[in-house]
Formats: sequence, structure tokens, C-alpha cells
Amino acid sequence: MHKKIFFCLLFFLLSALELIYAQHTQYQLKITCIDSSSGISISDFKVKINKLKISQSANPFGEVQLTHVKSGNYQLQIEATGYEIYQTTFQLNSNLELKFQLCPIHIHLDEAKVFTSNNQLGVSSQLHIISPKLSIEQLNKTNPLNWSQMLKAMPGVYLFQSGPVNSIPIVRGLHTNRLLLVQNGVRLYNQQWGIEHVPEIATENIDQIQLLRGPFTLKYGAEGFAGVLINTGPDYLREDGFHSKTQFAYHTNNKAFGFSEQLQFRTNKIATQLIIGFKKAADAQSPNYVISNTGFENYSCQANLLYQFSNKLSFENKLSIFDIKTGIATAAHIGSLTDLQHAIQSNRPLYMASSTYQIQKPFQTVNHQQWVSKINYQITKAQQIQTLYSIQHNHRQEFDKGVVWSTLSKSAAANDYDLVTQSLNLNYQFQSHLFQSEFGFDLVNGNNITTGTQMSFIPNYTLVNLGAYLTTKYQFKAISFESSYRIDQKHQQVFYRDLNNKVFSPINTFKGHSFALAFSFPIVEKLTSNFSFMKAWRAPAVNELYSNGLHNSLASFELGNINLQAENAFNFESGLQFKNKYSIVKLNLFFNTLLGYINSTPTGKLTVTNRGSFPSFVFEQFDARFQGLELSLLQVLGKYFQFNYQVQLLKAFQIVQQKPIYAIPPNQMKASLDYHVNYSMQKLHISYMLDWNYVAQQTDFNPLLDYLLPPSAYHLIHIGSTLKFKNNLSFQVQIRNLFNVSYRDYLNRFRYFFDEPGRNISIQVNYQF
Amino acid sequence: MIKKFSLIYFSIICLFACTKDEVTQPQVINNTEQISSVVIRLFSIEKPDSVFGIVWRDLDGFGGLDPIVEVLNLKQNQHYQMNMIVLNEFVNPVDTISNEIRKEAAVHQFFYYPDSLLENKLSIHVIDSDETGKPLGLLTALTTLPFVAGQTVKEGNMKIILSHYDGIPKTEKPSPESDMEIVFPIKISK
Repeated sequence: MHKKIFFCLLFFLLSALELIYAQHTQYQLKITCIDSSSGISISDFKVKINKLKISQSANPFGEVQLTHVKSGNYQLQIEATGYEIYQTTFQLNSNLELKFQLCPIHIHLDEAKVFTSNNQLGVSSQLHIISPKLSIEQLNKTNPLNWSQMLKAMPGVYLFQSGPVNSIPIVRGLHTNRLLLVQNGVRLYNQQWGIEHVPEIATENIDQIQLLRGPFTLKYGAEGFAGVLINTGPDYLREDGFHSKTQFAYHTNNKAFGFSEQLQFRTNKIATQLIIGFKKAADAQSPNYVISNTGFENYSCQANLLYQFSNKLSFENKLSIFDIKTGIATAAHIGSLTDLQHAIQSNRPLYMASSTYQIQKPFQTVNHQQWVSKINYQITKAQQIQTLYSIQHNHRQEFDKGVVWSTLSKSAAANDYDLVTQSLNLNYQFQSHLFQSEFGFDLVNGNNITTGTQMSFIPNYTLVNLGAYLTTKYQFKAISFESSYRIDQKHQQVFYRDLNNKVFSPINTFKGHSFALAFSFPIVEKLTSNFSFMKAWRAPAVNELYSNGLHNSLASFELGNINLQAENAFNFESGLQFKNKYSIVKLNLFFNTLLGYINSTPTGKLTVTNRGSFPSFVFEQFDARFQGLELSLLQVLGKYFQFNYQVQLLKAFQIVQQKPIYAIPPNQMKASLDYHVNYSMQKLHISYMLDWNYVAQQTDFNPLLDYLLPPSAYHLIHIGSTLKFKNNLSFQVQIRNLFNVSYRDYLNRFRYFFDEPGRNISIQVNYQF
Repeated sequence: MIKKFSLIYFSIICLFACTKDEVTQPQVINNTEQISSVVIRLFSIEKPDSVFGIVWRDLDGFGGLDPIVEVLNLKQNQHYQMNMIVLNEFVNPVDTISNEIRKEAAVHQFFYYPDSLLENKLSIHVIDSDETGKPLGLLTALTTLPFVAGQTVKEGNMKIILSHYDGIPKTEKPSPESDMEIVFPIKISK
């Protein structure tokens, strides 16, 4: 009760402050940017005004708007990827609209100061229509507890959950190995094959996430049919000095608290960053009960060092450590099919206890360490070469409750996966007035060692992948053409024992070509169209070839298939974007065909074990189609309001048999109304938001593949408010699932056992200097 | 300076590039924790020296071949005492897991569920109990009921569940988590 009163008071306080500051009269300032060579508008830039302590990214209309700015002289700085940093001073004594021409970086390379973690010559895709990008402010809109939850704000992303907190992203019906994750500039190599294997990326290290689609995805690998999620950390300081950012967050639903500290330091040639984070959560609570053993503990650390030898040569090292211990809901831990039937028949979990921070068995621990070392060398004004080496160590341990008579399972992990992956990338970049290109080689070597008290899903393996790629971009005024080609050879050897402990070591070799094309052009003024096509392939993963085990919580027996061949994807996408002063409408249609799509399908037989008889699933291949529509609308309503609306429709089916595919996200709609106001001289920014989410019932499902009908459709309402003061102190309050709705989500594999979490009030405080 | 730096840098990379030998030597399969076999021994109260037994045995573990399951042949209108023996035959010497279950009786209980085909033909009552007097089920009394006129044979199945109460009180119902669930065919004849 006291908490509710506190939050109500906070809302009133925010409103009162707004009224006080609304008394003043100041001027308005609007800033837009265009490319000096092509004349097209630049939508992705950042404006810094030191006197006002403002650092603001452009809105989706490609504008930075400041209101209530007092008259005076100001110095501003504009930063945009691929462009020179622009600095100027201006005098404000009336409402002002400023339009700046930014020079592409290749024109003045001799003057360029290469002092950033991003590539100065980085070939950036202009096809923003198909590659949405979210800033830290937008990602924080959901007050996320982990990286996957950050993606709730990303258009076209749905979450495949295993409990109230654990989730992985699913894009256009595809996930795990078909969705590549990039952190610190390199692919994340973890046990990505498991849908309950949450990506080891700390929220504290994120400043921006982009879902890259189209030709440029091939730079990171051939398998990213669904796209590449590129996680970018904060930029290094551009001037000598020290910067600190502290964050604290608390969530009432699972009593989660988090703390993070970001320290940055720069002298003439050295820039450093240190980011540490800690989170701890107790059991989550649905509206009617506690979901026992769903707490977690998470530590993360990121240390970055950039050394600038000269204007042409820089050396950068990044070290990240991510450690998490996560409880697996006790009620979802079943031993047999009968247990599952009992759980389904019950409206409440069959195991309930009071909320606690203690994490009992079953639980899993994951430790992921990544070291990335990068050397950049500027050969000429328009050419750059880069080497990127990374070593990643992923250690996952899954602890089962075990049987009482077992002495081993009391201490040892049931499954223990130890994966060490190294990657080396050599990349050459060229950029001229109209043309940009990248060419590179990839070498990846991975070694996985599996131990544990249970028969594991994947055996030991070694993996060597050799790849080469070429991406190009041609831009003439508003017309953009992109293309890419990639060739890969994958050599994989597994090592396993049969029941007589004889070692087998089969070798699999796969080779394939990928290519992609995309172009965008204006149809009429304000209306742009784009098309993209990609042919890519994916070698079967080790689990798809060799798994052999019982999924306890899914009550199914899963078998690998050594006869699997590579998957081939043919993605076609078409989009339209309408953009004027007050609205942006985007419509994307996609039509993806996967020949030899690898999926776990029922054999129709039962596997009899000492835990009962389980339906058997084997990895098989069939041709599949994923098609759908994504529509988004952004409308400015008057001076202070902004309305967002998104629709995602998806249909996936087997082409020959015309049967639905298991676990496809249901159709959904989102809408939000935001109210923003800036009081620049008082250095105050206030915003309120009202969100509505609707998830339809999945009607395309195969009853043979499931134990329970898809849950009903549901609506959720979220509200929140943010107050930023002096651009260095901010408070954020949010109430998610405002009406404490009881619901179950189709893509939560624990939906057989319990409801989703109920109302959550969260508060976040940020302070930076 | 740069040459020295490059030498050190690539040396570190080569050092990390060494692969582990453990990859090529996978862990030896250790089935010390598994239930491979369940033996049911019975004798008729009316004929105490007529001891007989059947077995449920799965020596290739999860998956692979189906387990060997013998049929429990009973006579109608008889009183039997039934003793459950749970074994791990993957190891040598064979591990009698039922001894461990008896030691940890407070968190275990066997449940017996004859299917509908055996309705009114069979009843089972647990005889043994844990320290607190709650049923365990390693030892049971099985009674076959008399056939009605004209009936000669009755066939059906019996499901046996070993329930595991970890952190929750033992009740008359199975816990949410089972350690074992097997099915035996039963044939009752005249």
C-alpha cells in the first residue's frame, strides 16, 4: 500500500513540476541535416550543446527539436556515422530552424580524428526501412531485466520464453541459430541451439541495438536468415576528461534490484571504459500466486581500451564477463508425461511457496567471457584495413534436482557445456563519393566439451569455419543499391561414445554460397520504396544432427538426424515508406522460403523409458514458408504528443503438406501515446507514456505437436513517466500490466504450468556527470 | 615499436589458439544414477512358497530399443504380497536402488494405478510406511477379486509411479515430480 502511495505522489510531483516550468517563455530550435554530396536528408545524427548539457539523437523524422530555449549564444556539435563531426556557434533570439550540410568522411580524411569504437569508414545501410535501430532511451522504455526484454521495443521482434524472465528473440518466426547476435563487433558464440539458452549480453553495455537485414548481414555469417542483432556499446569520450554514469533500478513484481556503473576516461591518445553491473531478483509473481524458483543473480563487467598510435593507426581491446545463475521454475520440473497431464489439468502450479531470493535446484549457471582485439589502419584517404580477433569462453552448467539415491547429482551438474571459440576477421574497406565496399575473410575455430551426470543433448565437437565476403553499396542521390556475396566452408567433427564406451568421431563438411541484393528509390516525393532479396544457407547444428535425450519440462524425447543436409533460405522483402513533416508510415511485406527447413517433428511413436512413455520427436527437413506483413505508423499530434502504432502478421506453414509449423508467434498489435515536453533553460525534460499491447490467439497450430491449445488472446496496458533534469539526472517510473491481467503466452514453453507475471511497478534512477 | 607490438599480439593469439585434447576424448558414460530394471516379486498368501517374479528391464538406457516388459500373470480371487525391487544393472556389482529409497522413505512413495480394464478386478494396498507412518509402497498387498460367471481371463495394465517429495509435504496424491513411471501388463485368469 505504501509503495502505491509513493508512486502516486511521484506522479503528482512530476505533474506539478511541469506546471511550474510551464510558466516561462522561451524559443524553439529545430535542427535537420543533409548529406552535402547527395543532398538527401540524414535521419540518424546526434546534437550536443554543452552549455545546455544537451545530447539528443534525432527523432524518426530526422529532426532534433528543442523547446523553451532561452536567448543567447550557443556552440553545437553534430555527430553522424560516416560523416565529419560538425561544430558551429549560433545566436538564438527568435524561433529558429537550422539545416546543416554534413560532409561524408572520405572527403576530409586527413583532418579526421579517428577516435571512436565505430568504423569511420563503416559502410552504413541506408535501408532503414528494413533494419530498425533503437537507442538506449527506446530500449529502456520497457525497463528491461535482461537483454532479451530490451528487444520488446524492437519492431518485428517477439520473445520465445522459458519462464517469467528467461527469453530469446524470435524474428519473423525464426530464432536461435538463424538469428545472429553481434557484441563488441563480433558474433556471440554460445550454446545458441537451446531455446532456453538466454543470450549472455549485459544490458549495461548496450547503447544501441540494430536489427540488421538485407545484404549487409552476410558480413557476419550466412545463417542470419532472420537478421543480425548488432549490439553497440557507448562511444568513447571525444574530448579529454572523465565521465561517470550510475544507474539504480527496482522492480516490485520480483523484488529485483539492479545497479550499474559506467566510468569513462580519455587522455590524448588513450580512451578507456569500465562498465560493471549487478542484478538480483526473487521469484516472479503472477496475479494469483508466486512462481517459485524463478529468481536470478547476474554480474557483468566490460573493460574497453582504445589506444591511438597515430591518426592512421589505432588499437582497441574489449574484455567482457557475464555471469548468471537462474532458477528454473519448480512447478515446471516434471518427471513424466503423467506429471505434465496433472499440471495441465490444474489451474494453479502444483508447487507453490512464498517468494524468496534463494535459488534452489533446478537451476543453471552460465559464465561467458569474451576478449576482442581490434587493429584499424587507415591506408589512404578512402581505404582502411582492420583485423579483429576474439576469443570467447562459454561455460554453461545445468543442475537438476536429481534423484535422492544419487550422490553425484547432489554436487555435479547434470549437463556441463564448455565451449571455447576463437574468430579472426580481416576486413578491407573502400569508400568513394558514390561507392562503398567491404571485403573480408573470417576464420572461426570452436571446441565444445560436454560432461555431466546425464546423457547430454550435444556431444563434444570441434568446428572450423572459413568464410569470405564482399559487400558493396552504390548511392546516387536518393537511390541506393546494395549487394553482397559470401562463401563459407564448415568443417565439423563430433566425438561421442556408445553404450559400450567406444568412441565415434564422424566428420561433416558443408560448403555454400550466399548472395543478397537490395535497392531503394523514391517513387514520388515523400514516398520511398525498397526491395531486397537474399539467398543464404545454414549447415545443420550439432544438436540437430546428434541430440538424443529427454526434455524434462517439455515431456518429449528428442532425436537427432545424421542425414540432415544444409538449409537454403530465399528471402524476399518489399517495403514502402511515407514520410512527411508529421507522420512516418512503413509497410513491409516479406516472403521467406526455406528449402530443407530443419525442424523437430513428431515421429508418431512413443519412447518408453523408466520415466514413462514420451512422444518422440526427430529433426526432419521439409520446405517451409514464412510470410507476413509489418506495418508501423508514427504520427506527431500537435506540439507535445506522439502516437505509435504497429501491426505484425505472420503465417508459417509446410509448403507441400500445407500444415502449420510449431511455435510461430501469433499476430500482434501495439500502440502507444507519448507526451514529451522540453524546458531547455531549466534543463528539464518530462515525458509520459501509455502503451497498449494486443496479442491474438494463435489459430495456426498442429494439435499433434502440442499438449494444450494455444492460450486466449490478451491485452496489456502499461503506463510510465520519465523526468530528466539538467541532462544528468533522470527518474523513470513504470507500471507494466497495469490491470494485473492473468494471461498465458503461446510462446512461453512453461505455459502448461503457470500464468505470466502480474503487475510490475519499476523505478529507475540515472545520474551522470 | 609497432613490430614488437605485432609480435607480442600475434604470439598471444597463437597461445590461445591451442585446442584442448579433452575434446577428442568424450566423457565415459557413467550410469551410476540410473534405474535400469524393476523386479516385482510376489507370493500368494494362500500358498506362501509359490514365489514368482517379473521384470521391467531397459539395459540400453533412454531411447534405443524398447524395454523388456514381462506380463504379470495372476489368478482370480487370490491375496498376494508384492515386493518392489528397483535396480541399476548398468553397474557392476548391481546397485539396489530400492534400498536407498527405503532409507529416504520420508520423501518417496509408490503409487499403483490399474487401468479401467482391471476395474473391480484388482485392489492394491500399501503395507510399509516411513518413520512418520506415511505410506511408502515398496511392500504392498494385492488382491484379485473373483470373476463373475462365464469370465475366464481379464487383461489390462498397471502404472507404477515413484513420486518424489522434495521440499513439499507427503500427501495421498503423487508429487509434481516423478522419479520413475513404468507400466506392467497384467493377466488375471481363472
